[in-house]
Amino acid sequence: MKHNRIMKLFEYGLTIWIIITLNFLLPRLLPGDPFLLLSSDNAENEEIVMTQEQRDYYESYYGLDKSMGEQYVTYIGQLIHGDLGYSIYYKVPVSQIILGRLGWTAFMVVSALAVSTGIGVLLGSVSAWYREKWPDKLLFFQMILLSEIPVFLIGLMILFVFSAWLRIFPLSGAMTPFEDYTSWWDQLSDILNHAFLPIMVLSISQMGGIYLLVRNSMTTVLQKDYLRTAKAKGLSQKRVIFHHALRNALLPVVTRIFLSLGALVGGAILVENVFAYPGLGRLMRECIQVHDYQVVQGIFLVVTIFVLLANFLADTVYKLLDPRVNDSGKV
Amino acid sequence: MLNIRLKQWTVLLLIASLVVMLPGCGNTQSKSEEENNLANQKQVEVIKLAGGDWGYPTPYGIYPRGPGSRKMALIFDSLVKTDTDSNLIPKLAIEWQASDDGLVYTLKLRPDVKWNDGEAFTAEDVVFSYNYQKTYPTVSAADFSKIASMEVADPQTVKITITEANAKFLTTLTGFMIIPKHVWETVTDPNNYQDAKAVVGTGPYKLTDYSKELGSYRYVINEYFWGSEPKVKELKFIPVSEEILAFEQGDVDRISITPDVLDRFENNDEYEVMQYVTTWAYRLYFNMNTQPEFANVTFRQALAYAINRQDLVDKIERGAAVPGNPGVLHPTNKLYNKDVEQYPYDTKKAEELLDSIGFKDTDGDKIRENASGEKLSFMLLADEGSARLADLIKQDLSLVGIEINVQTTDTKSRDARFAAGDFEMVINGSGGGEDLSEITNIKKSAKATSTTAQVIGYNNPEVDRLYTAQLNATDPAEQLKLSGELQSIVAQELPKLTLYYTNTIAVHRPKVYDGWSKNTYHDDDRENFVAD
Repeated sequence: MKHNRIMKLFEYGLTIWIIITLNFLLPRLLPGDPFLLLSSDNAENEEIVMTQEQRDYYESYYGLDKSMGEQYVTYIGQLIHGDLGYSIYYKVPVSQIILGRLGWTAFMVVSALAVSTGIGVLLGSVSAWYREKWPDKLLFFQMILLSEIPVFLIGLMILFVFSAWLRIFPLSGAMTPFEDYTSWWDQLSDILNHAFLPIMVLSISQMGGIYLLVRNSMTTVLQKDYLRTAKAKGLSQKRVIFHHALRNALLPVVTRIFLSLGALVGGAILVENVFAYPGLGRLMRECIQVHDYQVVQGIFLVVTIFVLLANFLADTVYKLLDPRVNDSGKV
Repeated sequence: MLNIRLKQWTVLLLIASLVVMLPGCGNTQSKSEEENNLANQKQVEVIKLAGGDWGYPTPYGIYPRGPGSRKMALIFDSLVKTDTDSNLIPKLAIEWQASDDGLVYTLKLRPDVKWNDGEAFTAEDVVFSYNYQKTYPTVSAADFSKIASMEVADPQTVKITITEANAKFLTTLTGFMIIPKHVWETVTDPNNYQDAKAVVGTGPYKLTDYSKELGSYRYVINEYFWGSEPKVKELKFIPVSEEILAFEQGDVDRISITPDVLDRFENNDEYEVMQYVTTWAYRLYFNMNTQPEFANVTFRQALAYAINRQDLVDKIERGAAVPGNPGVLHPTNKLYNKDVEQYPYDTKKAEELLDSIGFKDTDGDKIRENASGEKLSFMLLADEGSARLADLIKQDLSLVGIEINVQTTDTKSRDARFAAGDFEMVINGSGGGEDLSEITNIKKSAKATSTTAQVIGYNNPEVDRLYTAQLNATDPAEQLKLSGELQSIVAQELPKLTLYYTNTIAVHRPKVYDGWSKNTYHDDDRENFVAD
């Protein structure tokens, strides 16, 4: 038992080390460097081109003139001290930028997780109950359709309909800029108003997976003897589904929730860019464009840690819920 | 339990959907003057423009790409600046005088200027700024290489000694932003200094809010400003996802548009469209070191005849651009020589030229071969933004028997390969000053701009001589003549080919604010809000 746990820890450690190393190498393998600017996108964005002396100054300032090996050792050393380094482009500590953005992404991802799980579970249960009848067929078709549309396309359609055409929701951002809120309620409603569409879009893109899982799991459970008994007792349909069946059908869903965090973060990157939502995804796009190695490394690291943490939680929670699973993970 | 939580979340989100806000539609602003003129413009309360994070608006905090420098220039002043005709305009310096040998400049500073924290501005600040920025270069560093020393003559006078006489010396100081000594003298890491005191400047506005995450800025008038009263009391830069939608809904007051949406705003009283010519251009570069064909001037001339520049303007920019001048300089440049060789579109002429240098199609595959029998086939490197342009050039050149393979990469990769000479032909889009130093072998001590990215493999001593002579010419007529000669040679020899200069189109609501400058298309430029 103890041996297994140590092995598991070692596995996580190894994964983190490999990812840190890849994080370090990948951005540096991109052609170009943060200080080389030869062109601009259009006349509105004029560029500032540095002289060789300036580039040399900045390269040594950020330690980029050292060999890859030295840079790697410095990077690992900094990480051990919890220091993610300084952003070349944004000129503030990486941890500060990431913390400023992390909240928005986390808020969006967690909300979308809750909404998609809620709706997915509900519709999946309904579908299983009416299996092969018209409500099931209709739902199944719609859910497959929605989960196949790329998330940015859903985002754009929803943006055009609800923000541009109906003007119910703001076009972009996370808050009304420079608003002097009179109460916390004002502020909260402003934030929710801005977050509503992004969360909806992200939820829609994730709903299909949860729905299918619940539908299948529920179908299996509904054929069990104890449910036939429950039905025979004359319990209401609602009570049979949500009280007796759902509890037993939820086990795979719990794991799925944690494992879908990775996909949600991926979806959030696209959704944030559609809605100009100031989260990690938008930050990631910006800093890849400008080759800010430090921030790219930082974001990848934070996302990695979150996904690993989610996997770990999935393991743990599953064990708690299902005693048949032992430490070695075998049933 | 889980169900109850989920319900709570759902309810919360449903409530959020009810708390909806209708963004302000319908304008009730009073009628403003017909004239689009800053002097006649009434002062307005607030102007909203598309934001985005471009860095903390100090000379050290802004990001190198994008409009950060203009956000900074709302707060900070230079000693002098140049107008559209390159004439010097006083800013913090009001008078200047060069010594007889041209080596010592004496600059009289504007009296009674205060920093926006109330402290007095003196010559000490100027000399401090110079010494400080020499140690710690700013993002857009001024060229200090010609300055031997700078010293305080008296509290209102600065004396600058330069290493060699240069009639245009003062124009090199336009990017030299003056920072307050009392704030920065204790700062040892300016790149990361983002204190509220870092935005103490002498300019017309001061920063009240900045959010890096949201990409928003708010500026209000600096009550200590030395110049005339700004016409806008408050400037707001807010994040925008779709500029056109945001503009139509009144979230922002002015945007730049592409020619394809021009129809929506033209012939509509609510909107006014302003079009600007710019020196921002797409240029075609040849690698004369690796492809010997490009080193042949007749070959380059044939290419110029074969590429239909007017057609590029019509097809890609829908006419909102100016076809490239083979003499490189934009027709509005005051040194522009209109009498240079123009290479009108002429495939026949191109084919004659190609025939004349022995590039003929000998095997009947419609592609010409060079002297050693190799196909005339080149790789044209372009970034995503110029991919269509590259395709049209490929079509044009295929008509005269030259095969082009287009290779598209992201901008950074294209830049890196361009700088390293890892290309056969490349399209580069860039703005900035037109200087022609890129075709010379004169070592650039001045700041290189992308427009002046080095042309690879071209060498002409006469070009070098004329370039140096026109640069040092003190008499404007003499300079015009020398530069004209230089442009003639450049147009004749085509070390690079300018494809076209883009125009920028901006649209605003004249009822909201009509003081937009005709000189600059940047809607965050202070010229739009303050008469200098």
